[in-house]
Amino acid sequence: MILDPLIGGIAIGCIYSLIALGYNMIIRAMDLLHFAQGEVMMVGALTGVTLVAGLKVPYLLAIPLVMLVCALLGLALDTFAYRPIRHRRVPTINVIIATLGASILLTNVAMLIWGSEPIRYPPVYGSTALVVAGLRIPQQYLAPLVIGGLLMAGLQIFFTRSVIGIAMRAAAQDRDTARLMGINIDAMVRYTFAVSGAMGGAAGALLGPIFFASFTMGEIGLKAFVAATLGGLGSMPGAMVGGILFGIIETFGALWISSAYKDAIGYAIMIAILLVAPSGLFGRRTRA
Amino acid sequence: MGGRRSALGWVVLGIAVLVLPWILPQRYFLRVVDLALIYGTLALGLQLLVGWAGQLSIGHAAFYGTGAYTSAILTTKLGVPVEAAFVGGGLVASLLALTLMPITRLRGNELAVATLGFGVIIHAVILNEEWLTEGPFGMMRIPPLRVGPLLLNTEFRFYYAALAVTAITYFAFRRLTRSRFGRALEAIRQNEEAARTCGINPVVYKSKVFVIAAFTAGLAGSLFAHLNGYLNPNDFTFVESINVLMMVVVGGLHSLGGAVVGAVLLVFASEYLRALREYRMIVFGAVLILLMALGGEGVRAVPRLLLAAARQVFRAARHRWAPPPGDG
Amino acid sequence: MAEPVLLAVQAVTKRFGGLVALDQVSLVVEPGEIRGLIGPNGAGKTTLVNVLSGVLSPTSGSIRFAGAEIAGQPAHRIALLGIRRTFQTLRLFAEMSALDNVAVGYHGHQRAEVADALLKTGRARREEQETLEQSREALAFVGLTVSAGTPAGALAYGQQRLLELARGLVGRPRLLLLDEPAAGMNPAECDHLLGLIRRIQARGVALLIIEHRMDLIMEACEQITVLNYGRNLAEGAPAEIQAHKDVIEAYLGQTRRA
Repeated sequence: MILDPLIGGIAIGCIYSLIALGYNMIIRAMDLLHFAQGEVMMVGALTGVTLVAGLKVPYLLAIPLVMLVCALLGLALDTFAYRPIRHRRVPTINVIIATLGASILLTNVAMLIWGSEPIRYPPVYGSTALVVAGLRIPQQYLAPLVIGGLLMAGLQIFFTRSVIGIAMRAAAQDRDTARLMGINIDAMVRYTFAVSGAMGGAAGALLGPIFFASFTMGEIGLKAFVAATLGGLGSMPGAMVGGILFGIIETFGALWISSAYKDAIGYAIMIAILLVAPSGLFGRRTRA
Repeated sequence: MGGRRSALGWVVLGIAVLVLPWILPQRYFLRVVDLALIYGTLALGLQLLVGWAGQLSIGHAAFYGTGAYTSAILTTKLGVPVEAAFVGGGLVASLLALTLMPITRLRGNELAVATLGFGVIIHAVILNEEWLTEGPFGMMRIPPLRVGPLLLNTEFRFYYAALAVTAITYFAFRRLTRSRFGRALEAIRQNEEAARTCGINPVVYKSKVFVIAAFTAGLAGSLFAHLNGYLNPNDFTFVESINVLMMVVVGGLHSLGGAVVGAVLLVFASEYLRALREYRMIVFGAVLILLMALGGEGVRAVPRLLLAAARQVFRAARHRWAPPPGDG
Repeated sequence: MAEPVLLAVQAVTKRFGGLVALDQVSLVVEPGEIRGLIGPNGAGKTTLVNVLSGVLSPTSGSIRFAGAEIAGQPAHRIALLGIRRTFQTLRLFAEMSALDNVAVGYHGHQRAEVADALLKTGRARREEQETLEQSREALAFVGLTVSAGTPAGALAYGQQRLLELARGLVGRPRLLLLDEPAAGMNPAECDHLLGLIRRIQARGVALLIIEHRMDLIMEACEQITVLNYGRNLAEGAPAEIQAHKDVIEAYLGQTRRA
């Protein structure tokens, strides 16, 4: 049946969306590709399994805790790694390389702390599935759909209704004017890293029970980047739509086309988009 | 004068480098040196790409692997003489680089990810096309390098071939960067829009640098194939691309000599710090971040900073222990 | 028989999404002419220069230079055809020396590429020699004397402006677009610039100058085009423009009701 994989694809897509939102937030605010975003997600997944399996924290409580941890992680990365580099007015290439360094650092620290074997989450979902209009939605897909959806909606409200959210958007759009209006740009950047960290953490906590948690999970972050490109780099709606779309494409791609070249095909599509329609679906190219 | 001193420096370096295998003939050591030279060539190409053309390419392993596998396939499956296969590795890699011409239009982030994707695609081909590359089993019994009748089947003999390749690459790039071509690259790197209004077409120049960098990477790959005798797809992944980038960064962006120094440092650190497996990569990651904070000069910044730090300490100590005159 | 026109801009429009920066702008520049381009802030002057130099493509309209249609051509090709420019916000190669900056401007007159560089061919050597000579000559022409090793980023602002001018000139353009060349200059530097502009014209180079310094524009230019809100407002000799009712109104706002 076509609908079962579709629901799975959308569910995974919601998780990609959360990671992609993190990418796009940072790209929009500082034109920086945060290579370590996937690793933040990875730390989230591993922290989650420690909380749930080790400390017996109920899963639904673990999710916001993981988000908090990853928000702090994002903050730490900015404070200790990226900010010093930005303040020294070095070429952009240096900052990108620094994020690569951060991703290597996080991957290996994770391996040190959690070991090199993938860790399975204890069963956090029941086996009863939600049946809606004849559609059978297993709990493990329901969670990313519902929680992911709530987070995305919450983020929209945050950016459109809250003072900090609006200030962040202002700072991203026109740094100098925002500064003149009294907005503390450094603080906005900090918030950006914290919020995108939280999104990544949520993604990790949601992904863990579906597959497993491992220090190599950061690679999934790169796939989310393809999703972000698809939706339009720097665009919030783009990240949401791009993530879900990519989740669907990937699921059906693995079903219908060879799965060995699955990743390669994803990247080929991304390169094609960058060349032909670089703004993706929703993005706006800043250069005339 | 400075000129005389640097010429003397080159002579000393040249002699040291030529007699090295005679002084330290241990096989393991020479093998590490051989690897360092191969990576030196690799890093030089990437340095031209990143430090001069400003193209953050994180898929360089694709060219490296293409060269290695091309040379291996030509010699083991098609019976092509090693000397020709060696050059063939470079040529095929540079042909592959031509396909990247469209992406040179992209800027910063987008270019980086496009090269990442390119690396993944090439790796997927190497891994899956078993009829061509033996896939995950790897290619075996790759013949050693030879120069005419002379078989370079020891680390000692191989050293001189690798040294020649690295040295020629270095001096060729030196000439290139000091020419009209190099000046155009600098102009593009420093202010691309202004360069265009001076008649320079950035796409053409960036593409040419990709081809040149790919050629040297392909040669490096061929060298590796014939040194190792065995190839595995796992050696040519994104991780490897980052390795080479780290060498360029450690040596300092925009420095040809730095690329070689970075390669030597990292290869030796990798080999001799093997015991510290996990910690090694953590240190690398941290060092990468630190070096970027220092402004991209790489390890060259270290002596300068140490000197500055020493001066600070000295000044503070002097102030502490020798009270200023007119006191009390 | 009148000489063929050097630059013919016909009904050029430039849209950025919903914003119309240029609306059916037209103007003509004769060979060797000094043409002024003025207008209140936001009138579209720099946008027009960006379109003429190929940095931007026009949404519609025609631009003919020396008989050939160049609208929408990439910047590097337009530069090689003989149009050079300076930038309102300086765009120098900050890490290069002054001489090298100018040498980049001569790039289009050389042919030596990778093979020539690697083999240090005779052509490479001859061209480098020629480049350095031409570059030194251009620096002398604009009156810039700097020590060889100083990076362009370390020069004084006025010197940097002259450097950009030299870089544009060394390419032997037929048309030089100057975007606010006198910005930030004191009266003495302005006088020097005026003399320079005249000497450039004496070399046969036509100039299109954007300026806010009215004294310079009125002194230097033979014809002035005025833009407002992206459209042609007026055109004529300096005296006419100074007395033109619409121009005065555009600059000073609505005429006050009595």
